[in-house]
Amino acid sequence: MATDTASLTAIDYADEVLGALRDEDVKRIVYVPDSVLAPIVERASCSSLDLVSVTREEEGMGVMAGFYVGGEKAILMLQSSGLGNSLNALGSLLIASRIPCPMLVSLRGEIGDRNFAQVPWSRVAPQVLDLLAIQSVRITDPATVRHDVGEMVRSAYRWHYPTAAVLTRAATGGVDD
Amino acid sequence: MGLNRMRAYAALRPEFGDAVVIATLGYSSWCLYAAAHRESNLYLRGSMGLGVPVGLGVALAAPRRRVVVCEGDGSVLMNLGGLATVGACGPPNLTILVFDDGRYMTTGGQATHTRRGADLARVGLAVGVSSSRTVRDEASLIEAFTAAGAAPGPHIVVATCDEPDSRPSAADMPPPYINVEQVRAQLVVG
Repeated sequence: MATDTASLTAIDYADEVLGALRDEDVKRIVYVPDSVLAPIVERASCSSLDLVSVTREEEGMGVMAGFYVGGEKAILMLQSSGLGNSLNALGSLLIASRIPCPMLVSLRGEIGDRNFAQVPWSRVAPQVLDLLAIQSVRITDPATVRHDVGEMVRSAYRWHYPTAAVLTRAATGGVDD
Repeated sequence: MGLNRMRAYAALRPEFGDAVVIATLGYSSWCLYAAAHRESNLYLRGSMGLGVPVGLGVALAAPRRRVVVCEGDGSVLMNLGGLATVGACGPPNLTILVFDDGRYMTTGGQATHTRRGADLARVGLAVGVSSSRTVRDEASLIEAFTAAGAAPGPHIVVATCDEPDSRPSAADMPPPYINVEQVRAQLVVG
Protein backbone atom coordinates (compact mmCIF):
# COMPACT_ATOMS: atom_id res chain seq x y z
CA MET A 1 0.00 0.00 0.00
CA ALA A 2 1.32 3.41 -0.93
CA THR A 3 -0.84 5.23 1.56
CA ASP A 4 1.51 5.54 4.51
CA THR A 5 1.95 9.07 5.74
CA ALA A 6 5.62 9.21 4.85
CA SER A 7 5.05 8.65 1.15
CA LEU A 8 2.14 11.12 1.05
CA THR A 9 4.07 13.91 2.67
CA ALA A 10 7.40 13.27 0.96
CA ILE A 11 6.28 15.70 -1.74
CA ASP A 12 4.95 18.90 -0.26
CA TYR A 13 1.86 20.11 -2.13
CA ALA A 14 2.38 23.73 -1.04
CA ASP A 15 5.89 23.82 -2.51
CA GLU A 16 4.59 22.17 -5.66
CA VAL A 17 1.87 24.82 -6.08
CA LEU A 18 4.43 27.60 -5.65
CA GLY A 19 6.66 25.82 -8.18
CA ALA A 20 3.81 25.80 -10.69
CA LEU A 21 3.17 29.52 -10.13
CA ARG A 22 6.86 30.23 -10.78
CA ASP A 23 6.78 28.07 -13.92
CA GLU A 24 3.79 30.01 -15.24
CA ASP A 25 5.06 33.45 -14.24
CA VAL A 26 2.09 34.05 -11.95
CA LYS A 27 3.00 36.99 -9.73
CA ARG A 28 -0.13 37.47 -7.65
CA ILE A 29 -2.32 35.38 -5.40
CA VAL A 30 -5.85 36.44 -4.50
CA TYR A 31 -7.29 34.36 -1.68
CA VAL A 32 -9.76 33.81 1.09
CA PRO A 33 -8.06 32.00 3.97
CA ASP A 34 -8.41 28.21 4.27
CA SER A 35 -6.39 25.81 6.37
CA VAL A 36 -5.32 23.62 3.43
CA LEU A 37 -4.24 26.69 1.46
CA ALA A 38 -2.57 28.30 4.49
CA PRO A 39 0.94 26.85 3.96
CA ILE A 40 0.88 28.07 0.35
CA VAL A 41 -0.03 31.59 1.46
CA GLU A 42 2.50 31.51 4.28
CA ARG A 43 5.37 30.55 2.01
CA ALA A 44 4.23 32.89 -0.76
CA SER A 45 4.39 35.83 1.62
CA CYS A 46 8.12 35.12 2.02
CA SER A 47 8.69 35.08 -1.74
CA SER A 48 8.26 37.68 -4.45
CA LEU A 49 4.56 36.88 -4.87
CA ASP A 50 2.03 39.61 -4.12
CA LEU A 51 -0.91 38.54 -1.98
CA VAL A 52 -4.36 40.09 -1.85
CA SER A 53 -6.58 38.81 0.92
CA VAL A 54 -10.23 39.46 0.05
CA THR A 55 -13.27 39.31 2.31
CA ARG A 56 -15.30 37.07 0.03
CA GLU A 57 -14.64 34.87 -2.98
CA GLU A 58 -16.78 36.79 -5.47
CA GLU A 59 -14.81 39.89 -4.56
CA GLY A 60 -11.68 37.90 -5.42
CA MET A 61 -13.11 37.23 -8.88
CA GLY A 62 -13.56 40.99 -9.34
CA VAL A 63 -9.93 41.58 -8.38
CA MET A 64 -8.85 38.78 -10.75
CA ALA A 65 -10.77 40.49 -13.58
CA GLY A 66 -8.98 43.75 -12.73
CA PHE A 67 -5.59 42.03 -12.78
CA TYR A 68 -6.40 40.61 -16.20
CA VAL A 69 -7.40 44.02 -17.56
CA GLY A 70 -4.19 45.46 -16.07
CA GLY A 71 -2.09 42.73 -17.71
CA GLU A 72 -1.07 40.67 -14.68
CA LYS A 73 -1.25 36.90 -14.30
CA ALA A 74 -2.78 35.82 -11.02
CA ILE A 75 -4.43 32.86 -9.31
CA LEU A 76 -7.50 32.77 -7.06
CA MET A 77 -7.34 30.35 -4.12
CA LEU A 78 -10.57 29.39 -2.36
CA GLN A 79 -12.43 26.64 -0.53
CA SER A 80 -15.10 24.55 -2.21
CA SER A 81 -17.70 26.34 -0.05
CA GLY A 82 -16.32 29.64 -1.37
CA LEU A 83 -17.25 28.53 -4.84
CA GLY A 84 -20.81 28.68 -3.55
CA ASN A 85 -20.28 32.29 -2.48
CA SER A 86 -19.21 33.31 -5.94
CA LEU A 87 -21.55 31.79 -8.50
CA ASN A 88 -22.93 35.00 -9.99
CA ALA A 89 -19.47 36.52 -10.33
CA LEU A 90 -18.36 33.43 -12.25
CA GLY A 91 -21.31 33.77 -14.59
CA SER A 92 -21.96 37.44 -15.12
CA LEU A 93 -18.39 38.69 -14.89
CA LEU A 94 -15.79 36.06 -15.77
CA ILE A 95 -17.73 33.85 -18.17
CA ALA A 96 -19.87 36.60 -19.74
CA SER A 97 -16.76 38.66 -20.48
CA ARG A 98 -14.45 35.68 -21.22
CA ILE A 99 -11.95 36.64 -18.53
CA PRO A 100 -9.26 34.08 -17.62
CA CYS A 101 -9.35 33.11 -13.96
CA PRO A 102 -7.24 30.18 -12.76
CA MET A 103 -8.61 28.87 -9.47
CA LEU A 104 -7.07 26.55 -6.92
CA VAL A 105 -9.99 25.04 -5.04
CA SER A 106 -9.38 23.36 -1.72
CA LEU A 107 -11.95 20.57 -1.61
CA ARG A 108 -13.23 20.39 1.94
CA GLY A 109 -15.80 18.02 3.39
CA GLU A 110 -14.58 14.76 1.89
CA ILE A 111 -14.89 11.57 3.93
CA GLY A 112 -12.60 12.01 6.90
CA ASP A 113 -13.18 15.76 7.26
CA ARG A 114 -14.86 16.29 10.61
CA ASN A 115 -16.53 19.55 9.58
CA PHE A 116 -19.93 18.31 8.37
CA ALA A 117 -20.93 21.77 7.15
CA GLN A 118 -18.33 21.41 4.39
CA VAL A 119 -19.90 18.21 3.07
CA PRO A 120 -22.60 19.66 0.76
CA TRP A 121 -20.18 21.76 -1.27
CA SER A 122 -17.60 18.99 -1.39
CA ARG A 123 -20.25 16.93 -3.18
CA VAL A 124 -21.44 19.57 -5.64
CA ALA A 125 -18.42 21.79 -6.29
CA PRO A 126 -17.04 19.55 -9.08
CA GLN A 127 -20.51 19.25 -10.63
CA VAL A 128 -21.05 23.01 -10.51
CA LEU A 129 -17.75 23.52 -12.32
CA ASP A 130 -18.96 21.08 -14.98
CA LEU A 131 -22.34 22.80 -15.29
CA LEU A 132 -20.61 26.11 -15.95
CA ALA A 133 -18.37 24.41 -18.54
CA ILE A 134 -15.34 25.24 -16.44
CA GLN A 135 -12.41 22.92 -17.18
CA SER A 136 -11.13 21.35 -14.02
CA VAL A 137 -8.56 18.84 -12.90
CA ARG A 138 -8.99 16.82 -9.72
CA ILE A 139 -5.66 16.41 -7.96
CA THR A 140 -5.30 13.24 -5.87
CA ASP A 141 -1.54 12.83 -5.81
CA PRO A 142 0.98 15.38 -4.53
CA ALA A 143 3.33 14.24 -7.30
CA THR A 144 1.05 15.73 -9.98
CA VAL A 145 0.34 19.07 -8.25
CA ARG A 146 3.00 21.07 -10.09
CA HIS A 147 2.06 19.71 -13.48
CA ASP A 148 -1.71 19.94 -13.00
CA VAL A 149 -1.74 23.44 -11.50
CA GLY A 150 0.55 24.63 -14.28
CA GLU A 151 -1.67 23.16 -16.99
CA MET A 152 -4.74 24.64 -15.32
CA VAL A 153 -3.18 28.13 -15.31
CA ARG A 154 -2.13 27.82 -18.95
CA SER A 155 -5.55 26.62 -19.95
CA ALA A 156 -7.28 29.64 -18.39
CA TYR A 157 -5.21 32.12 -20.38
CA ARG A 158 -5.39 30.03 -23.54
CA TRP A 159 -9.15 29.60 -23.42
CA HIS A 160 -10.10 32.93 -21.80
CA TYR A 161 -12.32 31.32 -19.23
CA PRO A 162 -12.13 30.34 -15.56
CA THR A 163 -10.39 27.02 -14.90
CA ALA A 164 -9.97 25.06 -11.68
CA ALA A 165 -7.58 22.65 -10.01
CA VAL A 166 -9.36 20.83 -7.20
CA LEU A 167 -7.05 19.80 -4.34
CA THR A 168 -8.34 16.69 -2.56
CA ARG A 169 -7.39 15.23 0.83
CA ALA A 170 -5.49 12.51 -0.98
CA ALA A 171 -3.12 15.16 -2.36
CA THR A 172 -2.77 17.27 0.76
CA GLY A 173 -3.12 14.82 3.61
CA GLY A 174 -6.20 16.70 4.78
CA VAL A 175 -6.51 19.51 7.28
CA ASP A 176 -9.83 19.80 9.02
CA ASP A 177 -10.46 23.26 10.38
CA MET B 1 -28.44 73.10 -8.26
CA GLY B 2 -28.16 69.54 -7.00
CA LEU B 3 -26.48 66.68 -8.78
CA ASN B 4 -27.62 63.88 -10.99
CA ARG B 5 -25.44 61.27 -12.65
CA MET B 6 -25.66 62.55 -16.22
CA ARG B 7 -24.66 66.10 -15.28
CA ALA B 8 -21.94 64.83 -12.94
CA TYR B 9 -20.40 62.59 -15.64
CA ALA B 10 -20.53 65.39 -18.20
CA ALA B 11 -18.78 67.75 -15.78
CA LEU B 12 -16.13 65.13 -14.89
CA ARG B 13 -15.40 64.12 -18.49
CA PRO B 14 -12.67 66.77 -19.07
CA GLU B 15 -11.08 65.88 -15.70
CA PHE B 16 -10.69 62.16 -16.46
CA GLY B 17 -7.41 62.69 -18.35
CA ASP B 18 -5.94 59.29 -19.23
CA ALA B 19 -7.58 57.53 -16.31
CA VAL B 20 -9.13 54.12 -16.73
CA VAL B 21 -12.76 54.73 -15.73
CA ILE B 22 -14.73 51.66 -14.68
CA ALA B 23 -18.50 51.81 -14.26
CA THR B 24 -20.49 49.25 -12.39
CA LEU B 25 -23.50 47.70 -14.09
CA GLY B 26 -26.84 49.30 -14.94
CA TYR B 27 -27.40 53.02 -14.50
CA SER B 28 -23.78 53.73 -13.61
CA SER B 29 -22.70 52.26 -16.96
CA TRP B 30 -25.61 53.56 -19.02
CA CYS B 31 -25.19 57.14 -17.85
CA LEU B 32 -21.39 57.05 -18.21
CA TYR B 33 -21.75 55.85 -21.79
CA ALA B 34 -24.43 58.41 -22.60
CA ALA B 35 -22.68 61.39 -20.98
CA ALA B 36 -18.94 60.71 -21.11
CA HIS B 37 -17.98 57.81 -23.36
CA ARG B 38 -14.26 57.45 -24.07
CA GLU B 39 -11.92 54.65 -25.13
CA SER B 40 -10.59 54.06 -21.62
CA ASN B 41 -14.02 53.47 -20.09
CA LEU B 42 -14.78 49.93 -18.99
CA TYR B 43 -18.47 49.14 -18.63
CA LEU B 44 -19.34 46.20 -16.42
CA ARG B 45 -22.41 44.35 -17.58
CA GLY B 46 -23.32 42.25 -14.58
CA SER B 47 -21.88 41.23 -11.23
CA MET B 48 -23.37 43.93 -9.03
CA GLY B 49 -21.02 44.87 -6.21
CA LEU B 50 -17.83 44.12 -8.10
CA GLY B 51 -16.99 47.53 -9.57
CA VAL B 52 -14.71 48.33 -6.63
CA PRO B 53 -12.83 44.98 -6.67
CA VAL B 54 -12.31 45.21 -10.45
CA GLY B 55 -10.97 48.75 -10.00
CA LEU B 56 -8.71 47.55 -7.20
CA GLY B 57 -7.22 44.86 -9.44
CA VAL B 58 -6.61 47.30 -12.29
CA ALA B 59 -5.10 49.87 -9.89
CA LEU B 60 -2.68 47.32 -8.41
CA ALA B 61 -1.72 45.93 -11.83
CA ALA B 62 -1.31 49.35 -13.49
CA PRO B 63 0.17 51.48 -10.69
CA ARG B 64 1.17 54.36 -12.97
CA ARG B 65 -2.34 54.87 -14.32
CA ARG B 66 -5.09 56.66 -12.45
CA VAL B 67 -8.04 54.32 -11.97
CA VAL B 68 -11.53 55.69 -11.29
CA VAL B 69 -14.45 53.50 -10.29
CA CYS B 70 -17.98 54.86 -10.79
CA GLU B 71 -20.25 53.07 -8.38
CA GLY B 72 -23.82 53.37 -7.20
CA ASP B 73 -24.94 53.22 -3.59
CA GLY B 74 -26.80 49.95 -4.13
CA SER B 75 -23.79 48.24 -5.63
CA VAL B 76 -21.40 49.44 -2.91
CA LEU B 77 -23.85 48.26 -0.24
CA MET B 78 -23.85 44.82 -1.83
CA ASN B 79 -20.12 44.48 -1.16
CA LEU B 80 -19.00 46.65 1.74
CA GLY B 81 -16.20 44.14 2.34
CA GLY B 82 -14.71 45.28 -0.96
CA LEU B 83 -14.16 48.75 0.51
CA ALA B 84 -12.34 47.18 3.46
CA THR B 85 -10.03 45.38 1.02
CA VAL B 86 -9.30 48.71 -0.71
CA GLY B 87 -8.46 50.18 2.70
CA ALA B 88 -6.18 47.22 3.44
CA CYS B 89 -4.37 47.30 0.07
CA GLY B 90 -4.23 51.09 -0.16
CA PRO B 91 -3.60 51.62 -3.89
CA PRO B 92 -2.54 55.27 -4.21
CA ASN B 93 -3.87 55.58 -7.78
CA LEU B 94 -7.47 54.57 -7.07
CA THR B 95 -10.44 56.94 -6.75
CA ILE B 96 -13.91 55.59 -6.05
CA LEU B 97 -16.84 57.82 -7.01
CA VAL B 98 -20.12 56.71 -5.48
CA PHE B 99 -23.20 58.29 -7.01
CA ASP B 100 -25.62 58.04 -4.13
CA ASP B 101 -29.23 58.63 -5.13
CA GLY B 102 -30.64 56.41 -2.39
CA ARG B 103 -32.29 54.22 -5.00
CA TYR B 104 -31.85 51.00 -6.93
CA MET B 105 -32.33 52.90 -10.18
CA THR B 106 -31.82 50.02 -12.58
CA THR B 107 -34.63 48.00 -11.04
CA GLY B 108 -37.17 50.78 -10.67
CA GLY B 109 -36.02 53.18 -7.96
CA GLN B 110 -36.54 51.18 -4.78
CA ALA B 111 -34.95 52.76 -1.68
CA THR B 112 -31.47 51.71 -0.56
CA HIS B 113 -30.19 51.86 3.00
CA THR B 114 -28.48 55.21 2.38
CA ARG B 115 -32.02 56.64 2.63
CA ARG B 116 -32.28 55.13 6.06
CA GLY B 117 -29.06 56.54 7.44
CA ALA B 118 -26.21 54.46 5.99
CA ASP B 119 -23.35 56.90 5.36
CA LEU B 120 -20.94 55.54 2.78
CA ALA B 121 -18.35 58.30 3.20
CA ARG B 122 -18.07 57.39 6.87
CA VAL B 123 -17.71 53.75 5.95
CA GLY B 124 -14.84 54.84 3.72
CA LEU B 125 -13.14 56.65 6.57
CA ALA B 126 -13.68 53.65 8.83
CA VAL B 127 -11.89 51.26 6.46
CA GLY B 128 -8.85 53.51 6.34
CA VAL B 129 -8.70 55.05 2.86
CA SER B 130 -6.69 58.28 2.49
CA SER B 131 -9.73 60.50 2.13
CA SER B 132 -13.47 59.99 2.00
CA ARG B 133 -16.03 62.77 1.74
CA THR B 134 -19.52 63.61 0.57
CA VAL B 135 -20.26 66.31 -2.01
CA ARG B 136 -23.63 67.70 -3.03
CA ASP B 137 -23.01 69.99 -5.99
CA GLU B 138 -21.05 70.06 -9.20
CA ALA B 139 -18.33 72.50 -8.09
CA SER B 140 -17.56 70.48 -4.94
CA LEU B 141 -17.53 67.25 -6.96
CA ILE B 142 -14.97 68.60 -9.42
CA GLU B 143 -12.90 70.04 -6.60
CA ALA B 144 -12.94 66.74 -4.68
CA PHE B 145 -12.12 64.71 -7.78
CA THR B 146 -9.20 66.97 -8.72
CA ALA B 147 -7.85 66.98 -5.17
CA ALA B 148 -8.06 63.17 -5.13
CA GLY B 149 -5.96 63.02 -8.29
CA ALA B 150 -3.28 65.24 -6.76
CA ALA B 151 -2.73 63.30 -3.51
CA PRO B 152 -1.94 59.62 -2.88
CA GLY B 153 -5.12 57.58 -2.43
CA PRO B 154 -7.17 55.56 -2.25
CA HIS B 155 -9.90 58.19 -2.22
CA ILE B 156 -13.65 57.93 -1.96
CA VAL B 157 -15.97 60.69 -3.12
CA VAL B 158 -19.65 60.14 -2.41
CA ALA B 159 -21.76 62.39 -4.65
CA THR B 160 -25.25 62.77 -3.27
CA CYS B 161 -27.56 62.86 -6.28
CA ASP B 162 -30.85 64.38 -5.24
CA GLU B 163 -32.12 65.13 -8.72
CA PRO B 164 -33.45 62.30 -10.87
CA ASP B 165 -31.83 61.18 -14.10
CA SER B 166 -33.95 60.46 -17.08
CA ARG B 167 -33.47 56.87 -18.15
CA PRO B 168 -31.04 56.76 -21.08
CA SER B 169 -32.64 55.56 -24.30
CA ALA B 170 -31.62 52.19 -25.71
CA ALA B 171 -29.50 54.01 -28.28
CA ASP B 172 -27.54 55.72 -25.51
CA MET B 173 -26.69 52.50 -23.70
CA PRO B 174 -23.30 50.88 -24.18
CA PRO B 175 -23.48 48.41 -27.05
CA PRO B 176 -23.57 44.77 -25.97
CA TYR B 177 -20.02 44.01 -27.05
CA ILE B 178 -17.52 43.34 -24.37
CA ASN B 179 -14.82 45.98 -24.08
CA VAL B 180 -12.51 44.22 -21.63
CA GLU B 181 -9.93 43.44 -24.34
CA GLN B 182 -10.06 46.98 -25.70
CA VAL B 183 -9.20 48.57 -22.35
CA ARG B 184 -6.66 45.82 -21.59
CA ALA B 185 -4.83 46.58 -24.83
CA GLN B 186 -4.23 50.11 -23.55
CA LEU B 187 -2.66 48.86 -20.33
CA VAL B 188 -0.56 45.90 -21.42
CA VAL B 189 2.87 46.99 -22.54
CA GLY B 190 4.34 45.14 -25.52
